[in-house]
Amino acid sequence: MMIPALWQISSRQWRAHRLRVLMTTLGIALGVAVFFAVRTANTALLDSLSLTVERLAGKSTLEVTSGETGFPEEVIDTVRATPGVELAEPVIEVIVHSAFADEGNLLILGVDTTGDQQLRQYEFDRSQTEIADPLTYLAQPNSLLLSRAFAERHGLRIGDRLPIFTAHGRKDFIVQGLFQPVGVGAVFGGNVAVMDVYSAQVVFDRGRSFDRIDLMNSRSVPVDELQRRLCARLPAGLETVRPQMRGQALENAVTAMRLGMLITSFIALLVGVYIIFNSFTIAVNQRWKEIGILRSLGVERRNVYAMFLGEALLMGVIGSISGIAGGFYLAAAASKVMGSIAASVYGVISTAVAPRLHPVTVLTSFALGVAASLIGAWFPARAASCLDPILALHNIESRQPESSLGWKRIAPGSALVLVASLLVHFSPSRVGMTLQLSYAAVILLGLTLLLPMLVQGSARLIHPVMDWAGGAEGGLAVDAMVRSPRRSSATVGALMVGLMFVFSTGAYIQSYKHMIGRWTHRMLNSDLVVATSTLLRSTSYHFSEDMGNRISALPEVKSVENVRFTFIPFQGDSAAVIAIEMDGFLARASDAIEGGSSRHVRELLPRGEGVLVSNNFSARWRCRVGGRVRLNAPTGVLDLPILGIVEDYRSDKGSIFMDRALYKKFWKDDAVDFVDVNLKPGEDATLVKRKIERLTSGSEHALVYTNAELRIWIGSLVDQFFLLNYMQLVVAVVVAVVGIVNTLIVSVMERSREFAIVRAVGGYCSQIRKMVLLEAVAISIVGVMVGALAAVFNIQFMSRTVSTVVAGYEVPFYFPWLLVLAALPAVAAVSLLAAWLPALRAMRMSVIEAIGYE
Amino acid sequence: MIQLTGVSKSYGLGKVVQAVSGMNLQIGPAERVAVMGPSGSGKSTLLNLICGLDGPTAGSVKVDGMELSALSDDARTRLRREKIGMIFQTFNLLPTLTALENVAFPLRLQGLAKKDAEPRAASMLVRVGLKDRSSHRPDELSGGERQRVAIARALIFRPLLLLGDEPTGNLDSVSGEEILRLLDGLQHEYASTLLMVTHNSQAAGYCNRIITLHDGRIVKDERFDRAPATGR
Amino acid sequence: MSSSSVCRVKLLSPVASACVCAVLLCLACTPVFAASPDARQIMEDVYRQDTSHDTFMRAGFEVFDKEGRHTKKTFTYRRIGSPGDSKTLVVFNAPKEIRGVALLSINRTGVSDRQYMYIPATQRVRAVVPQERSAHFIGTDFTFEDIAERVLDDFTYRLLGEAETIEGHKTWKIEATPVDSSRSQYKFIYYWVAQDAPVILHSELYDAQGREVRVLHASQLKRVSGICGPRHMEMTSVPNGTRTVLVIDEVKFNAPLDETLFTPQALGQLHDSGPVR
Repeated sequence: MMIPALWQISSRQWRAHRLRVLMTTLGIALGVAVFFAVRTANTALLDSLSLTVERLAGKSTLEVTSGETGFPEEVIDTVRATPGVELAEPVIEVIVHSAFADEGNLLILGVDTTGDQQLRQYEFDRSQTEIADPLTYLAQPNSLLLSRAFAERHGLRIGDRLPIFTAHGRKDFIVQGLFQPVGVGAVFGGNVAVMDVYSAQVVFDRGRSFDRIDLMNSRSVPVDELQRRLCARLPAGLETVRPQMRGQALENAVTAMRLGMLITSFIALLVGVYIIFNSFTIAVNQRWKEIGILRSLGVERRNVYAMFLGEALLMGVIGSISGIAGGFYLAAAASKVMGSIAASVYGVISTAVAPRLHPVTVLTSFALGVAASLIGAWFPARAASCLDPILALHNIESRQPESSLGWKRIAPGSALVLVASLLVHFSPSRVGMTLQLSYAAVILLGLTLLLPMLVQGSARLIHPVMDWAGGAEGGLAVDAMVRSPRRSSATVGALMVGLMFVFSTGAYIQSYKHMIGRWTHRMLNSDLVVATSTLLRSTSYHFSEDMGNRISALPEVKSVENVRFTFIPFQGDSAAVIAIEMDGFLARASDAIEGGSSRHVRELLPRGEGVLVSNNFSARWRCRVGGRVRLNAPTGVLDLPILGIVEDYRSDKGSIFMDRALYKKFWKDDAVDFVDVNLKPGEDATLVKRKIERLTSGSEHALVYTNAELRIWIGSLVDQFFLLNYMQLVVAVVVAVVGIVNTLIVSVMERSREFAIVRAVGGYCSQIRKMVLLEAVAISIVGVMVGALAAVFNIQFMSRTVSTVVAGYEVPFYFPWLLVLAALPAVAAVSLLAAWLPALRAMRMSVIEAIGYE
Repeated sequence: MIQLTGVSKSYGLGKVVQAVSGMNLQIGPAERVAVMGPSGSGKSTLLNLICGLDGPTAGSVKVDGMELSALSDDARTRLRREKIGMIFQTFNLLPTLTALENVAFPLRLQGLAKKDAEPRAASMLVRVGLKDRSSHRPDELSGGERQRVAIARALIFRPLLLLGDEPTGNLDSVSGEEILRLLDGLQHEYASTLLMVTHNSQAAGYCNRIITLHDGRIVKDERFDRAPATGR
Repeated sequence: MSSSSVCRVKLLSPVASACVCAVLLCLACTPVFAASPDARQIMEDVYRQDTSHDTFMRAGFEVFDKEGRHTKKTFTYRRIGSPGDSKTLVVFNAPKEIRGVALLSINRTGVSDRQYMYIPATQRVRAVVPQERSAHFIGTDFTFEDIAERVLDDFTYRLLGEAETIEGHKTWKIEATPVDSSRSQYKFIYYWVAQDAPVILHSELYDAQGREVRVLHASQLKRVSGICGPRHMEMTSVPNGTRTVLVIDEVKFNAPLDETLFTPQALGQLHDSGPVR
């Protein structure tokens, strides 16, 4: 417990150093705000996913599904004939593009409205008691019931036409009823329509298959028992799960994004720790003498310790509370970002859920904020309590040379960096994500211990340059860093952390893009690609094979490959299936296949007697060429050898490549997601693209890309995916700026006495100003150097550990030279600005006043 | 009150500086001792050893019958808090506190509430002649005033031992004289043992024992019979 | 029903029994009542008068909205068997949106009806789930309760006395109250039954709150194969001012029908063009 008298000291210190306290508390608040916002947005997203599932599932207690591929409709007879099934209703879920400009997607729920009402409620419009004409609704496959929200946005009324792109091209649907935006109607922001499931089969070219069967158990048979019965009766490719599990599956789909966000939030907290650390290091330096006086007056070491920790605690409490308050508003923005990424990148539909204050999140954020500030203040507080009171009582001038470069720091610092780097390289993923992510913290801790040495080393390196460019003042500025590296360490440390994240995030993105570029070159090298969506794929809108036939009939076209890209359940998770006409694929991309004999691949793959798997699939499921994969298709089990490994980044779950005929046979699914078009030699891709666009315009929602456009398109998708990393970048930049401003302001003000002495002995104001500014420049250069060094470690960490955790594969190491060079002037500018104002203030201070009392 | 037996103190690892060597010294209750000697003769080290801020390399230091080396750092700190008042050449006031708060601070460290500590501090300030300056912060006071505050702070809890490290070293002769007279009067009143390191023979003149150090050894130990408060 | 209450997608399911009651309650013939009637006896006679089997009918629903706009759905109706143990088949002919839609209902007393529907556009026969009693039948003013086979014992009857002459027939006014209120959407119904024939000429139907919600009026009594009944019935929804007119163009009784038509499998092969042998 801290002695009450010391509170008085603390409170006076705070009053005297308002700016430092403000900046420090802001640092914690920033960290907590980001953490809280991400957690809250995460929870809101999950809430929204489960709410969506709940609303879509209605009262059903079990669901029968088969990934995204759907299954033959006869399954429903088996389900209905299973004892214990009270009610079983088929469902088709389709997300379509309406032909309206600037309208997002529309979720169409195909249900058997004659029976489904027992499972789900459709609350009809106030002015309307039921479907205007139920017979017409059922008899006309283009009938749908629309949520009022969507209808109002487009001024649609009953009887009006709504144009939608279907597998058979653009079609007009007739609005046969409106329902209120509650229950099912509130899903997906109200962009929802209901139609007859059998009509949906026809208009969306689903053949005789369903996406899902929702069912209710009879009262006498418990859900678990019924689940067992159904599992026993249904083919292996079908899963019988509780609806909540589908929420789980949706959650799994967005895991990567949530992880990314979580990492961002931890980075923000880590940064908070660093800001506190910096600030307290400065405070201890500033209050050096005060500590000596307190010790001489009989304040024990532990009370000095307690005083600093108490201050950190209070800052933590204030910072956390304000961080939570600010984070709540930030959460709304974060929620929007996550919702839109979930919808656009992952095709996961959700219902807008306003972020709520969750007590657990509030408490966690609060506790973490407080813990972060205590951790940050720990070392400086310890240093303060260990301060030799005799030394401390002397004036600053008589401080002994720092012993910060001793082995006591260098040895553990180097050891930490080394051990963590080794762990990054060699530790298996099964140690768990938390442990893996902690490597970064360990590296950072090690680098912090090494910081004074790094500062000194870097300062020595730049000494000649500063001497040459800055004259005597330049030399003096660097001398100060060489002699007392600890004083500059705080600023350099803040820069190091901020720049480390900027550089490593930049490097990661660059490296990723480079890798994707190589992949597109090797794998997606057809002359033209026709896609269903501006995103990687559409989960529910597909082409029919007929379109491929029409394109291949063009005289300029040499060959086309129809590609199906979907997800199937795999070992309790999911995996992407890329079903492609292998003859064509092998002809243009066989050199992308690694491992396995190429003769084997050429022979067996097109016959459907084996599969290729992606590098991340192989890493995730630890399988190699020669191993086998067992896939549960709706019509039976497929057990096939792995013939080769290909580079593929379409899914973070890993991809399986198989021949299209095999897929069609086992999944009874002939939908097409992409058409790869290869042209005859000498044909102009742009001209053929226009031709295909004319061919499909007004009928299909088809996007035609030339190979060059495809690369740009994929680049933009990558950018979208990296939205999170850009957010991280923003956090890092904010941190760096807060760090520089905080430490430089404090450091310059702390030295006002020193400046006064320089002036007293005849230094010009301009000389002092030059010295301060040159020192700021020197610090920037050293900061960028140290930040770049730290980034080397962090890039290793991100490209190996983070990438494997989030995406399932490693990204090659890449050092962002250009970014580092570009950072120099930017950092120098911020530093100059941060040093300028306090330098001006120091100039204005009267010399007598400044040296009169220390 | 203070007993040093064979006390040595050296600094540094390579080139060892012997600050105090083999010192034996005994100071009784209510004695007024001045320690004199040239710079580097070990005066300040001696003070640091006695107040427990520093430990001897060899020998024993006893204060009020307690062997300091046998005490933990916390216990030595508590000893300072409860029994030793210190006055420094550079005053060492807490810059963020007012004169009143500075004086009240030792009492508050001992656990007294602000409302109990501050009236006592106020009357102490009256004693040192700073009644009107109690709400000023140290940077608003003159050197002499600051030292008065320091004296008030050192004496407020009636310490058994009052240690002064060049208490007049930073003051002009008039202020120095005033401070010495004040110190003299209060020491007599509180019956504290006074040990004062000084270069100033005027200051030494207020003491009834003068110890002269050279190279860490006592070269002279003179006792005088002086009436207190007279100064001459 | 309050406008904000939860309504459902109302469908065609119990069409089998559908037209049966709405029509046949009015299609009764002999015997003629004696002088001092008993309310239950009058109603029993109304219910039991249908001794027909193998019925064929060509009819149409005309639905008028508040503004007087109307749509017309025409259909053929076939029934084999007698009330309580019958199969009925309704095939729509017009308008073109619903042409070819066929509804099959298999009714047996004590067993819930099985119903099937064939939709030409999707070319499939599907089983249809029974509907709520208060749901509207294919967008008409008739509810499923109104067109279902009504069970005599489900109501108690009270003779309110002799009432006005309707369509030239002297009538008895009878109040029917459900025995179990959960089995009817109505609190009570007033019937005007012709004194000279067991035909309900006029009904007023009151909801659970005692408000008049619907009025059914029968007219144009005609005799076919010795059975007399109305050719024109008009159901008016009192609160919203809409009405549905059921016009029977042709009725045949006891003309043998092909039983193989009355299976779900046969629904898809149906080409409707009149009475099927």
